[in-house]
Amino acid sequence: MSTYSKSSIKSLELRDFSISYSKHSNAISNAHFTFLQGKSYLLTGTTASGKSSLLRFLKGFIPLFYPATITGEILLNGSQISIEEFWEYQGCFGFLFQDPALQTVGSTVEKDLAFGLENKGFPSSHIQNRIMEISQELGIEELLERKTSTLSGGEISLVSLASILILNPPFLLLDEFAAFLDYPARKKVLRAIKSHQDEKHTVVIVSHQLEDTLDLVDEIIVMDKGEIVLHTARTQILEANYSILQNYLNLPEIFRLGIPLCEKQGVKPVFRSAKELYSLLRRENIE
Amino acid sequence: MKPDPRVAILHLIGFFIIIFLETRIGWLTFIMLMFLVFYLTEASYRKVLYVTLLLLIPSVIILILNILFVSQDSDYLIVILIRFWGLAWLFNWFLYAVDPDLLTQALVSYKIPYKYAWQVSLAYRFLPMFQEESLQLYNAQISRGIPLDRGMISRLRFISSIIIPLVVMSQDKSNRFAEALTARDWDPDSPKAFLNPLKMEKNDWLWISSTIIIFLMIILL
Amino acid sequence: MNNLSYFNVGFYYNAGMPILKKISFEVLSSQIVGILGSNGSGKTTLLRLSNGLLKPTSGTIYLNQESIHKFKTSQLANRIHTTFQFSRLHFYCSSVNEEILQSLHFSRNKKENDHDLPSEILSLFSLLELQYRHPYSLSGGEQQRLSLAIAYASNADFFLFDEPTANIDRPSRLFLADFIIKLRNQGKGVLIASHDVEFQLNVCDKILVLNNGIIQFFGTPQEFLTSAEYLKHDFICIPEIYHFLELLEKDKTTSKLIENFFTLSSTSERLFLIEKSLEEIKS
Repeated sequence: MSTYSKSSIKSLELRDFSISYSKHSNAISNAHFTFLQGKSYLLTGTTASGKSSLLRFLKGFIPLFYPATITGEILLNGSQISIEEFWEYQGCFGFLFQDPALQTVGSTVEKDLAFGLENKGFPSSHIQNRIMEISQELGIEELLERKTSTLSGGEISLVSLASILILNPPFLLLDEFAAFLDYPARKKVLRAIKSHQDEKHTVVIVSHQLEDTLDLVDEIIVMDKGEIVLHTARTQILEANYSILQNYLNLPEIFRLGIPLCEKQGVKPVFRSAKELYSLLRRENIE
Repeated sequence: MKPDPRVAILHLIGFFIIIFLETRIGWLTFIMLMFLVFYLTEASYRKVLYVTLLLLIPSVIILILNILFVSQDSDYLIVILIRFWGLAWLFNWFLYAVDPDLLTQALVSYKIPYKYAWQVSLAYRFLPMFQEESLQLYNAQISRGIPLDRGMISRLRFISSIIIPLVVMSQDKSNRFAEALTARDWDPDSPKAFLNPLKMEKNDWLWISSTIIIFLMIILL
Repeated sequence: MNNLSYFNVGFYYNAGMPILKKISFEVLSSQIVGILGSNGSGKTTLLRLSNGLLKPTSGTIYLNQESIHKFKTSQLANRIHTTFQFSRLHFYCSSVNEEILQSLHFSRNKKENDHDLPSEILSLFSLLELQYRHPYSLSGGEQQRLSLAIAYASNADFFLFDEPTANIDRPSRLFLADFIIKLRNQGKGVLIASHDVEFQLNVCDKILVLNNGIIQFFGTPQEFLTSAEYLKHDFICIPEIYHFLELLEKDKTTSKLIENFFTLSSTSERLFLIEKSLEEIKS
């Protein structure tokens, strides 16, 4: 697949990183983020924890649309660069909004998908090929002729995802993407994201809903009031401090009850589903 | 049948000029009815009826103002009314017949810089969004008890409950739209291509020739 | 005792597919009814019919034996109050305080002389410190609390919520659940449209499942979970904890585990119940 961005991002590190919109408070204060190529991250936490601010900074919305003071070091592929230099890499980031309807700019699906590439001045045949590629990948070939205003919530989410993936950004940022979708539609969208993610693509998801995003990511970063309170691999999340999980996350009840149950039984709480928890507890009991 | 947007723009400008140059009631009525036919080919008759009924209020106001301040001459008043209705139908036809995406493309083909062409089509795109947004606000406000649905007077009294959020929200929406464009790496100065280059088809030539014939008829006769 | 009853309510847009087909059910005072269903199943339409924003194409909705269709929506609002999914759609005043005063003005308890009432409400929703702020300047969680305060100030008999849990964080979610239960305890009826199954099961007294415009199920959460066929609907994602309870139930001689689970509301009590049954299985 062709890439359109100038260079690749193998690693991105933000050190002592702060964003503040006003003098009195920091949206992010002295946090340290590391993002590696090919990994996927879930960024979660309370409402004003600074997770959206980070995404907005990465895509350049801060300070373009939100005036803010930014301090800290940026290390790209290991070497330090200034914030101005970092802006040059904007094209590497694909950004998806919470409300996919806000993201559409074309009147029909086909035109909406074409928009990004038209803008870069590619010949019509190339654009057509890419539209076919991406709509096959996401299974939206049948929607191409439809008007964007007549699409259902699930359909428009897939279309807006396609409109970003068609530019093939190595770094995908999802800001509460498709948070309003119902269960089947959400599952479909998240599956599409998961199958797109590979060693060349990095994904950062901001979400409150853990049930369905937990399975999707390699690492989890929990933020509160601009600070990182937890950064751990997904497989170890349940072993992390239970009070952190309980206080900051919309943890499904299976974890809310399952983790203390495991602790009392003296087993490592490594489970993702009811079946796994059951066998974990029962095996212990049989022995 | 939707005309090529370039043809539609020519058509719009041409007849816009004609309707102001022409003063004979017979010809004006003919042009006006022609616009109505165009409009009916694009929109459903219900929509046309609705828009036409909405036009009654401003046309009565125009009539009264003209009688009071300008002239009581009946011929003059009829001409004013015909122009008003004709233009309303003409612009409504244009809104239906031309896709905002293609409008940009058409304006660019007339050598208007992409930056400005895009702005025109943007404004055009925001119209239905504005309508949708005000309906949502109206519903939300009456649901919390603001008596916007209890007659003209109380609606006017509480109109701020729609206007204020609408202003805030349209600002918000346009910011969001700017973000959406940035998310697509949009750059107003970068080179542009189009997925489907505009092509003139048989029925576009028909549009052009019929426009020219009517144009000539009115000027010569 | 108030009741909001739906009698053969049907709805379709002009020449379109029916969205609701002859729906009949009832919401009583001190009752929380949760509507479950996928996008486009008619949840939002049902709420919009309930406060007069839409008129049913067939059937009638009665508030205490009186048809609601002769009233305007704004007239109904002090008896049937609706909170939209995007709470900011409801704001228009220049401060938080004024929003509350405006709502009190339109409410039925015209205690406008009661000077303590506004600050009482503000403190109830932890908005006292924010009372002079502009509603649009509040954060997402604060905006939702304000919209709940606006609802509370209306002092209606029935409260409708459209997707109240979409995209809110843990503290806001707990606050919302507490608020809705408080409304019920004050004798109000509540109708929640949401696809958040865990929230609905934990908060609601009755669950109503809408699918393709008909009521597929109407009953208590216990009944909903124990009637196995409803668990299989892939449009509703049953929280994993209930699958876990089901597995435990299979082991045990008594089959009342899920029902007992529901009678308990606190995490510690539920934890204790599961531990106890685990021990029983062991022995």
